[in-house]
Amino acid sequence: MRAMRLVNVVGLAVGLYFLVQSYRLVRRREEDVFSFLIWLIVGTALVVVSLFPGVADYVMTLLGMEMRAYTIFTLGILLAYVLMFQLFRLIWRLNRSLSKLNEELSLLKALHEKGEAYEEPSNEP
Amino acid sequence: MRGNASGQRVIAVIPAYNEEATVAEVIRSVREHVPNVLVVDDASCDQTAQVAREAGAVVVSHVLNRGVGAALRTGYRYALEHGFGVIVQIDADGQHDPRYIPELLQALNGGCDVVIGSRFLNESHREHGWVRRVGIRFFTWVGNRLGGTNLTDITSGYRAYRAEALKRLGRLPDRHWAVEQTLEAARKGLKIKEISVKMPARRRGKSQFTLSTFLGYPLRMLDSILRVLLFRRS
Repeated sequence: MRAMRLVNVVGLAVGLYFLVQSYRLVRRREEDVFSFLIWLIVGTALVVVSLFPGVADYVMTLLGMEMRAYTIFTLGILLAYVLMFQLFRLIWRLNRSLSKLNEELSLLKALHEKGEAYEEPSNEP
Repeated sequence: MRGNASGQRVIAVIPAYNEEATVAEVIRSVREHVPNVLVVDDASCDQTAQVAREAGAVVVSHVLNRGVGAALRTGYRYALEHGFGVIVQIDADGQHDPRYIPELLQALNGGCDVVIGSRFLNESHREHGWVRRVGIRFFTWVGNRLGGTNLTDITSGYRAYRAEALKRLGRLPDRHWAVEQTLEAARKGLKIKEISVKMPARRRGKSQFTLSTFLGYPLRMLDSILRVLLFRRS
Protein backbone atom coordinates (compact mmCIF):
# COMPACT_ATOMS: atom_id res chain seq x y z
CA MET A 1 0.00 0.00 0.00
CA ARG A 2 1.43 3.38 -1.05
CA ALA A 3 1.41 6.41 1.26
CA MET A 4 -2.19 7.62 1.57
CA ARG A 5 -3.25 10.90 0.04
CA LEU A 6 -5.41 13.36 1.96
CA VAL A 7 -8.56 12.34 0.07
CA ASN A 8 -7.99 8.72 1.07
CA VAL A 9 -7.53 9.67 4.70
CA VAL A 10 -10.76 11.69 4.65
CA GLY A 11 -12.59 8.83 2.90
CA LEU A 12 -11.32 6.37 5.47
CA ALA A 13 -12.36 8.63 8.36
CA VAL A 14 -15.87 9.19 6.94
CA GLY A 15 -16.28 5.47 6.19
CA LEU A 16 -15.27 4.51 9.71
CA TYR A 17 -17.56 7.20 11.13
CA PHE A 18 -20.56 5.76 9.17
CA LEU A 19 -19.78 2.25 10.40
CA VAL A 20 -19.36 3.21 14.05
CA GLN A 21 -22.35 5.57 14.19
CA SER A 22 -24.59 3.10 12.40
CA TYR A 23 -23.63 0.33 14.76
CA ARG A 24 -24.24 2.56 17.78
CA LEU A 25 -27.67 3.65 16.49
CA VAL A 26 -28.78 0.07 15.87
CA ARG A 27 -27.48 -0.96 19.26
CA ARG A 28 -29.53 1.83 20.87
CA ARG A 29 -32.49 0.69 18.69
CA GLU A 30 -32.70 4.14 17.07
CA GLU A 31 -32.12 2.91 13.52
CA ASP A 32 -33.72 0.06 11.63
CA VAL A 33 -31.73 -2.78 10.09
CA PHE A 34 -32.37 -1.56 6.52
CA SER A 35 -30.74 1.80 7.26
CA PHE A 36 -27.91 0.04 9.01
CA LEU A 37 -27.29 -2.14 5.95
CA ILE A 38 -27.13 0.91 3.67
CA TRP A 39 -24.61 2.68 5.88
CA LEU A 40 -22.70 -0.54 6.37
CA ILE A 41 -22.30 -0.89 2.60
CA VAL A 42 -21.42 2.80 2.11
CA GLY A 43 -19.00 2.82 5.05
CA THR A 44 -17.31 -0.40 3.99
CA ALA A 45 -17.02 0.82 0.39
CA LEU A 46 -15.40 4.07 1.53
CA VAL A 47 -12.95 2.26 3.80
CA VAL A 48 -12.00 -0.26 1.11
CA VAL A 49 -11.60 2.37 -1.63
CA SER A 50 -9.56 4.60 0.70
CA LEU A 51 -7.23 1.80 1.71
CA PHE A 52 -7.02 0.20 -1.72
CA PRO A 53 -7.51 2.87 -4.45
CA GLY A 54 -7.00 0.18 -7.12
CA VAL A 55 -10.45 -1.20 -6.23
CA ALA A 56 -12.01 2.03 -7.52
CA ASP A 57 -10.27 1.52 -10.87
CA TYR A 58 -11.56 -2.06 -11.02
CA VAL A 59 -15.16 -0.91 -10.31
CA MET A 60 -14.70 1.84 -12.91
CA THR A 61 -13.74 -0.69 -15.57
CA LEU A 62 -16.58 -2.97 -14.45
CA LEU A 63 -19.17 -0.18 -14.84
CA GLY A 64 -17.70 0.95 -18.15
CA MET A 65 -16.79 4.42 -16.84
CA GLU A 66 -13.97 6.46 -18.29
CA MET A 67 -12.99 8.37 -15.20
CA ARG A 68 -12.88 7.56 -11.52
CA ALA A 69 -14.87 10.73 -10.80
CA TYR A 70 -17.76 9.47 -12.97
CA THR A 71 -17.85 6.24 -10.97
CA ILE A 72 -17.99 8.11 -7.69
CA PHE A 73 -20.72 10.47 -8.93
CA THR A 74 -22.79 7.64 -10.41
CA LEU A 75 -22.61 5.56 -7.25
CA GLY A 76 -23.33 8.67 -5.17
CA ILE A 77 -26.44 9.48 -7.20
CA LEU A 78 -27.67 5.89 -6.96
CA LEU A 79 -27.21 5.98 -3.22
CA ALA A 80 -29.04 9.32 -3.04
CA TYR A 81 -32.00 7.74 -4.90
CA VAL A 82 -32.12 4.84 -2.46
CA LEU A 83 -32.03 7.22 0.49
CA MET A 84 -34.64 9.49 -1.08
CA PHE A 85 -36.98 6.56 -1.62
CA GLN A 86 -36.48 5.41 1.93
CA LEU A 87 -37.16 8.90 3.32
CA PHE A 88 -40.22 9.28 1.09
CA ARG A 89 -41.57 5.98 2.38
CA LEU A 90 -40.90 7.05 5.95
CA ILE A 91 -42.59 10.45 5.53
CA TRP A 92 -45.63 8.80 3.92
CA ARG A 93 -45.93 6.36 6.81
CA LEU A 94 -45.49 9.09 9.41
CA ASN A 95 -48.07 11.28 7.69
CA ARG A 96 -50.58 8.45 7.68
CA SER A 97 -49.86 7.61 11.32
CA LEU A 98 -50.28 11.26 12.26
CA SER A 99 -53.65 11.37 10.58
CA LYS A 100 -54.79 8.22 12.32
CA LEU A 101 -53.53 9.45 15.67
CA ASN A 102 -55.35 12.74 15.16
CA GLU A 103 -58.57 10.85 14.45
CA GLU A 104 -58.20 8.52 17.45
CA LEU A 105 -57.28 11.33 19.80
CA SER A 106 -60.15 13.58 18.75
CA LEU A 107 -62.71 10.78 19.24
CA LEU A 108 -61.26 9.81 22.61
CA LYS A 109 -61.19 13.45 23.68
CA ALA A 110 -64.83 13.85 22.70
CA LEU A 111 -65.77 10.78 24.75
CA HIS A 112 -63.73 12.00 27.69
CA GLU A 113 -65.37 15.42 27.57
CA LYS A 114 -68.80 13.85 27.55
CA GLY A 115 -67.72 11.35 30.21
CA GLU A 116 -69.35 8.45 28.45
CA ALA A 117 -68.50 5.20 26.74
CA TYR A 118 -69.66 4.75 23.14
CA GLU A 119 -73.32 5.69 23.39
CA GLU A 120 -75.81 7.41 21.18
CA PRO A 121 -75.33 11.18 21.29
CA SER A 122 -78.21 12.84 23.10
CA ASN A 123 -78.59 16.07 21.20
CA GLU A 124 -82.15 15.64 19.99
CA PRO A 125 -84.17 18.83 20.35
CA MET B 1 -87.46 12.95 12.72
CA ARG B 2 -85.53 10.24 14.56
CA GLY B 3 -84.83 8.02 11.62
CA ASN B 4 -85.61 7.89 7.94
CA ALA B 5 -88.55 6.09 6.39
CA SER B 6 -86.80 2.72 6.60
CA GLY B 7 -86.38 3.17 10.36
CA GLN B 8 -82.65 3.68 10.29
CA ARG B 9 -81.11 6.28 12.55
CA VAL B 10 -79.75 9.31 10.73
CA ILE B 11 -76.84 11.54 11.63
CA ALA B 12 -75.63 14.70 9.93
CA VAL B 13 -71.86 15.06 9.75
CA ILE B 14 -70.57 18.60 9.31
CA PRO B 15 -66.81 19.04 8.73
CA ALA B 16 -65.80 22.53 9.80
CA TYR B 17 -62.71 24.67 9.73
CA ASN B 18 -62.88 28.29 10.89
CA GLU B 19 -66.62 28.53 10.28
CA GLU B 20 -67.78 30.30 13.44
CA ALA B 21 -69.72 32.81 11.35
CA THR B 22 -71.96 30.24 9.70
CA VAL B 23 -71.89 26.96 11.59
CA ALA B 24 -74.58 27.75 14.18
CA GLU B 25 -77.14 28.66 11.55
CA VAL B 26 -76.31 25.52 9.57
CA ILE B 27 -76.70 23.34 12.67
CA ARG B 28 -80.05 24.88 13.58
CA SER B 29 -81.37 24.37 10.04
CA VAL B 30 -80.04 20.81 9.85
CA ARG B 31 -81.67 19.89 13.16
CA GLU B 32 -85.06 20.71 11.68
CA HIS B 33 -84.58 17.59 9.58
CA VAL B 34 -81.99 15.47 11.41
CA PRO B 35 -81.83 15.59 15.22
CA ASN B 36 -78.38 14.07 15.53
CA VAL B 37 -75.74 16.49 14.35
CA LEU B 38 -72.01 15.92 14.60
CA VAL B 39 -69.57 18.70 13.86
CA VAL B 40 -65.99 17.63 13.24
CA ASP B 41 -63.91 20.69 13.96
CA ASP B 42 -60.66 20.34 12.02
CA ALA B 43 -58.53 22.25 14.56
CA SER B 44 -60.08 25.63 13.83
CA CYS B 45 -58.31 28.76 15.04
CA ASP B 46 -61.60 30.47 15.82
CA GLN B 47 -64.56 29.57 18.06
CA THR B 48 -66.15 27.06 15.65
CA ALA B 49 -66.25 24.22 18.21
CA GLN B 50 -67.71 26.39 20.97
CA VAL B 51 -70.33 27.92 18.68
CA ALA B 52 -71.30 24.47 17.35
CA ARG B 53 -71.67 23.07 20.88
CA GLU B 54 -73.87 25.97 21.88
CA ALA B 55 -76.01 25.39 18.80
CA GLY B 56 -76.69 21.86 20.02
CA ALA B 57 -74.30 19.70 18.02
CA VAL B 58 -72.01 16.99 19.30
CA VAL B 59 -68.50 18.24 18.55
CA VAL B 60 -65.39 16.20 17.90
CA SER B 61 -62.33 18.44 17.70
CA HIS B 62 -59.24 17.45 15.79
CA VAL B 63 -55.98 18.18 17.51
CA LEU B 64 -54.28 18.94 14.19
CA ASN B 65 -55.65 20.46 11.01
CA ARG B 66 -55.61 17.64 8.45
CA GLY B 67 -58.17 18.64 5.83
CA VAL B 68 -61.80 17.98 4.96
CA GLY B 69 -61.19 14.34 4.07
CA ALA B 70 -59.70 13.66 7.49
CA ALA B 71 -62.62 15.41 9.19
CA LEU B 72 -65.08 13.33 7.20
CA ARG B 73 -63.22 10.15 8.08
CA THR B 74 -63.57 10.99 11.76
CA GLY B 75 -67.24 11.77 11.22
CA TYR B 76 -67.91 8.51 9.37
CA ARG B 77 -66.14 6.55 12.05
CA TYR B 78 -68.18 8.21 14.77
CA ALA B 79 -71.38 7.51 12.87
CA LEU B 80 -70.56 3.86 12.20
CA GLU B 81 -69.36 3.18 15.73
CA HIS B 82 -72.56 4.70 17.11
CA GLY B 83 -74.70 2.51 14.88
CA PHE B 84 -76.21 5.12 12.59
CA GLY B 85 -77.67 3.64 9.43
CA VAL B 86 -77.69 6.80 7.33
CA ILE B 87 -75.12 9.58 7.17
CA VAL B 88 -75.90 12.99 5.71
CA GLN B 89 -72.87 15.12 4.94
CA ILE B 90 -73.17 18.87 4.66
CA ASP B 91 -70.73 21.79 4.63
CA ALA B 92 -70.51 24.25 7.49
CA ASP B 93 -70.17 27.33 5.30
CA GLY B 94 -73.87 27.66 4.55
CA GLN B 95 -73.60 26.86 0.85
CA HIS B 96 -75.58 23.66 1.29
CA ASP B 97 -79.19 24.38 2.10
CA PRO B 98 -80.46 21.83 4.68
CA ARG B 99 -83.98 21.98 3.22
CA TYR B 100 -82.81 19.42 0.64
CA ILE B 101 -82.07 16.80 3.31
CA PRO B 102 -85.53 15.14 3.05
CA GLU B 103 -84.95 14.75 -0.69
CA LEU B 104 -81.54 13.18 -0.12
CA LEU B 105 -83.05 10.76 2.40
CA GLN B 106 -85.95 10.00 0.08
CA ALA B 107 -83.51 9.05 -2.67
CA LEU B 108 -81.67 6.75 -0.27
CA ASN B 109 -84.97 5.13 0.67
CA GLY B 110 -85.54 4.60 -3.02
CA GLY B 111 -82.68 2.10 -3.03
CA CYS B 112 -79.61 4.27 -3.62
CA ASP B 113 -76.37 3.81 -1.72
CA VAL B 114 -75.00 7.32 -2.22
CA VAL B 115 -76.94 10.47 -3.08
CA ILE B 116 -75.14 13.61 -4.24
CA GLY B 117 -76.54 17.12 -4.30
CA SER B 118 -75.66 18.66 -7.66
CA ARG B 119 -75.47 22.37 -8.45
CA PHE B 120 -75.29 21.54 -12.16
CA LEU B 121 -78.85 20.24 -12.29
CA ASN B 122 -80.02 23.82 -11.79
CA GLU B 123 -78.73 27.29 -12.59
CA SER B 124 -76.95 27.93 -9.27
CA HIS B 125 -73.60 26.75 -10.63
CA ARG B 126 -73.48 29.96 -12.67
CA GLU B 127 -72.75 31.89 -9.47
CA HIS B 128 -69.35 30.21 -9.21
CA GLY B 129 -66.33 31.40 -11.19
CA TRP B 130 -65.92 29.98 -14.68
CA VAL B 131 -62.52 28.44 -13.92
CA ARG B 132 -64.01 26.47 -11.07
CA ARG B 133 -66.99 25.43 -13.17
CA VAL B 134 -64.76 24.25 -16.00
CA GLY B 135 -62.60 22.35 -13.50
CA ILE B 136 -65.60 20.62 -11.93
CA ARG B 137 -67.04 19.75 -15.31
CA PHE B 138 -63.72 18.35 -16.50
CA PHE B 139 -63.15 16.16 -13.45
CA THR B 140 -66.76 15.04 -13.50
CA TRP B 141 -66.31 14.04 -17.15
CA VAL B 142 -63.14 12.08 -16.28
CA GLY B 143 -64.93 10.44 -13.34
CA ASN B 144 -67.88 9.50 -15.52
CA ARG B 145 -65.63 7.99 -18.19
CA LEU B 146 -63.67 5.94 -15.68
CA GLY B 147 -66.53 5.02 -13.37
CA GLY B 148 -69.23 4.45 -15.97
CA THR B 149 -71.51 6.98 -14.30
CA ASN B 150 -73.56 9.86 -15.60
CA LEU B 151 -73.01 12.45 -12.86
CA THR B 152 -72.90 16.23 -13.17
CA ASP B 153 -71.15 17.35 -9.97
CA ILE B 154 -68.57 14.86 -8.77
CA THR B 155 -66.92 17.34 -6.39
CA SER B 156 -70.05 18.20 -4.42
CA GLY B 157 -69.72 17.62 -0.68
CA TYR B 158 -73.46 17.61 -0.05
CA ARG B 159 -74.18 13.89 0.16
CA ALA B 160 -76.06 11.14 1.93
CA TYR B 161 -74.88 7.57 2.37
CA ARG B 162 -76.09 4.29 3.64
CA ALA B 163 -73.76 3.12 6.41
CA GLU B 164 -73.35 -0.20 4.63
CA ALA B 165 -72.14 1.61 1.52
CA LEU B 166 -69.61 3.66 3.49
CA LYS B 167 -68.22 0.49 5.03
CA ARG B 168 -67.39 -0.78 1.55
CA LEU B 169 -65.37 2.29 0.67
CA GLY B 170 -61.68 2.63 1.45
CA ARG B 171 -59.96 5.17 3.63
CA LEU B 172 -60.52 8.74 2.45
CA PRO B 173 -57.47 10.88 1.75
CA ASP B 174 -57.00 13.89 4.04
CA ARG B 175 -57.75 16.36 1.26
CA HIS B 176 -59.51 16.26 -2.10
CA TRP B 177 -61.60 13.28 -1.21
CA ALA B 178 -64.69 13.74 -3.42
CA VAL B 179 -63.47 12.46 -6.79
CA GLU B 180 -61.70 9.50 -5.23
CA GLN B 181 -64.70 8.48 -3.15
CA THR B 182 -67.18 8.83 -5.99
CA LEU B 183 -65.00 6.97 -8.45
CA GLU B 184 -64.39 4.17 -5.97
CA ALA B 185 -68.11 3.93 -5.18
CA ALA B 186 -68.91 3.71 -8.89
CA ARG B 187 -66.30 1.06 -9.55
CA LYS B 188 -67.53 -0.99 -6.62
CA GLY B 189 -71.00 -1.00 -8.12
CA LEU B 190 -72.70 1.21 -5.53
CA LYS B 191 -75.85 2.89 -6.72
CA ILE B 192 -75.22 6.63 -6.98
CA LYS B 193 -77.90 9.21 -7.68
CA GLU B 194 -77.89 12.98 -7.95
CA ILE B 195 -80.59 15.39 -6.95
CA SER B 196 -80.79 19.05 -7.88
CA VAL B 197 -79.52 21.30 -5.09
CA LYS B 198 -79.09 25.05 -5.37
CA MET B 199 -75.64 26.03 -4.13
CA PRO B 200 -75.07 29.75 -4.32
CA ALA B 201 -71.50 31.05 -3.93
CA ARG B 202 -70.75 31.73 -0.25
CA ARG B 203 -71.52 35.21 1.01
CA ARG B 204 -70.33 34.94 4.62
CA GLY B 205 -67.15 33.63 6.19
CA LYS B 206 -63.86 33.03 4.41
CA SER B 207 -63.61 30.66 1.44
CA GLN B 208 -61.22 27.71 1.80
CA PHE B 209 -60.66 27.80 -1.99
CA THR B 210 -57.31 29.60 -2.18
CA LEU B 211 -54.80 30.13 -5.01
CA SER B 212 -52.64 27.24 -3.80
CA THR B 213 -55.73 24.99 -3.69
CA PHE B 214 -56.50 26.03 -7.24
CA LEU B 215 -52.98 25.46 -8.54
CA GLY B 216 -52.57 22.10 -6.82
CA TYR B 217 -56.02 20.85 -7.80
CA PRO B 218 -55.18 19.14 -11.12
CA LEU B 219 -52.26 17.24 -9.62
CA ARG B 220 -54.29 16.08 -6.65
CA MET B 221 -57.15 15.02 -8.89
CA LEU B 222 -54.73 13.02 -11.01
CA ASP B 223 -53.37 11.44 -7.83
CA SER B 224 -56.91 10.53 -6.68
CA ILE B 225 -57.88 9.04 -10.02
CA LEU B 226 -54.70 6.97 -10.34
CA ARG B 227 -55.04 5.72 -6.78
CA VAL B 228 -58.53 4.40 -7.43
CA LEU B 229 -57.61 2.89 -10.80
CA LEU B 230 -54.49 1.17 -9.52
CA PHE B 231 -55.24 0.23 -5.95
CA ARG B 232 -58.97 0.17 -5.36
CA ARG B 233 -60.45 -2.52 -7.45
CA SER B 234 -64.00 -3.72 -7.15
